Amino acid sequence: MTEYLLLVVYAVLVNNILLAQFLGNCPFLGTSQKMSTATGMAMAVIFVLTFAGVITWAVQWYVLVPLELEYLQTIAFILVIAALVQLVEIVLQKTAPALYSALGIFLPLITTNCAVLGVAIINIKEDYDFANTVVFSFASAVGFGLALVLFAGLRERFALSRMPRALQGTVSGLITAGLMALAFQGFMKLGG
Amino acid sequence: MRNKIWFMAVVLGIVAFLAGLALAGVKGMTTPVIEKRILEKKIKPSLDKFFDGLDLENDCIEDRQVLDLGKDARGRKQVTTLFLGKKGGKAVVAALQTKAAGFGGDIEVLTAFSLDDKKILGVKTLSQSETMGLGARVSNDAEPFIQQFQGMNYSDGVEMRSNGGQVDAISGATVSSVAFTAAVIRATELVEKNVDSAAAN
Amino acid sequence: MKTLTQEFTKGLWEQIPPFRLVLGLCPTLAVTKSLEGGWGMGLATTFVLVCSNLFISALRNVIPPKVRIATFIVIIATFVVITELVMKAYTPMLSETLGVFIPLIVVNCIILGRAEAFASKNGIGRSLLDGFGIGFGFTLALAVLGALRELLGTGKLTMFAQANLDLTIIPLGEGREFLFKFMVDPPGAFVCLGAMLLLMNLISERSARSKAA
Repeated sequence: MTEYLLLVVYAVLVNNILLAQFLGNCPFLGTSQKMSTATGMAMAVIFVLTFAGVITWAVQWYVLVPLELEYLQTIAFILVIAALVQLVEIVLQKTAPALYSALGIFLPLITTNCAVLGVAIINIKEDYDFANTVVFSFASAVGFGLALVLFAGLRERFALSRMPRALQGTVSGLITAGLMALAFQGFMKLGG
Repeated sequence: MRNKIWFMAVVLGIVAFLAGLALAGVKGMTTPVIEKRILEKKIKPSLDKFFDGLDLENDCIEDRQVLDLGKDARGRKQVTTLFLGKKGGKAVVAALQTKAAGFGGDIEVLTAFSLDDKKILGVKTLSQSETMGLGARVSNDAEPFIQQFQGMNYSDGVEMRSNGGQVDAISGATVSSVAFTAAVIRATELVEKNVDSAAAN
Repeated sequence: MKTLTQEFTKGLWEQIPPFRLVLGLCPTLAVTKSLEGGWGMGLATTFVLVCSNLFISALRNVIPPKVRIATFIVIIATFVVITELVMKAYTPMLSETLGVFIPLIVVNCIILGRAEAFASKNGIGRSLLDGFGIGFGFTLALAVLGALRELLGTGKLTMFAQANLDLTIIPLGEGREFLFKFMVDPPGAFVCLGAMLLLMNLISERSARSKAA
């Protein structure tokens, strides 16, 4: 149990996927203008990333490795993720319209969110077993959500303040992200 | 026509097939290049040092043999390369590449043996990702931990001192030392098992 | 309609990624710890971009609109894997520096973005020029960012580690650590990119003002 707990702390705080590993930065800057959008994106990523992590793990160990086609990993994973996102979209639309209307517009964007493919590849690279894959994928996505929602909270305040024109938008976003990354770096001591 | 299902399937199928073909081709071209580079850059300098002054009659890199070690727990194929140095038609020295899981990932070790007197000629870390300043010291050839293997008799096996053997760990880097030694032990077992049959051909 | 020259040069200033086209931020932030990482990633991305633009533009009248994104992804992923294999064989150290970010070129929004917005609508010649222009712009931006961060963070410039082409610009005494290490740490990446973007905004603002006056 402690092993999983450590993995969660590591993935959420110490080695945050957005602020330390730089995965998923496009949606980070793109969908953080408003709190509601950020929460929607965070939920959609948690949902898809956990599923994608598990399925790509299965594809790697039950399809690619037995067939000795490991070099096709990138192409296989991205196709699996694209298909999964489409499938989730269709299933949600049919079974949970409320959830679909909340997450729907974010789903197509997730295919090209490099956090999803990145975590899928890290799971394999680190030789994680099934349980570790589930925990790490979920925790990474939670780390993404946490950083995104905190960041959106800050940016909502910016919208109310006066700022030189050259600083508006992406520039202030990047500098704020830098300061947040600095704060998250403080957690590194947790990792020993 | 472009909106017919069969047409979409055919186009996607053809694109995927051509992609697969191209990748298989590139894979076939790059694999020998990677293998050759590892042999020349990593293995050859170490073997030249270990087998220095032995006047071997063959080129042990040219005559290398691939040993099939079966599959690991995850179903990945495991292989290693055995290098044999001969004199008078008889194998006198051998070297073997093995690995074991350390603190930060696999540690890959090349171990060289003198077969007649059952002595280890030397060990060399080929790759590792251990902690800087602690476990990563296995990469330093002058490190006492690495030096102690030179000339070690392996007829009664190799073992850590904590297990009643002869190998002293690097203080503060027990996990890395144990992993390194495990790789050497594995190499010893493989040499004992494979060399007689290999020497015959 | 742009002239052919404009098709190429637009990628170098007017639409230079990741500044004007705020896309492809992950590799921009992650691999620019060194000059080598910057130009390496830039050229790898350029190669994939040019090849995928070429093929997508050539096939643009064949690919069924409904499965176009899937087809684009297959084509892009193929070139990414080719890049991955070739770099592993010929530039192993660079391949190790870039690590997981080589396979991640496949989800670099710049490439899919150019495929969807440009190559699928334009001829082969224009698509090639567009790919080269945007690619070189991206390479330039990454190399400058990498050089800046590495120089300020470590005092060195790594041109090509495999050939030992390292320059020490600011020499340090034995055993002394560089103080401005912040620049090569993750927070420095965000701040440095933000500062460069700010500078570009200021320059365009000034030139717009002088044009108006």
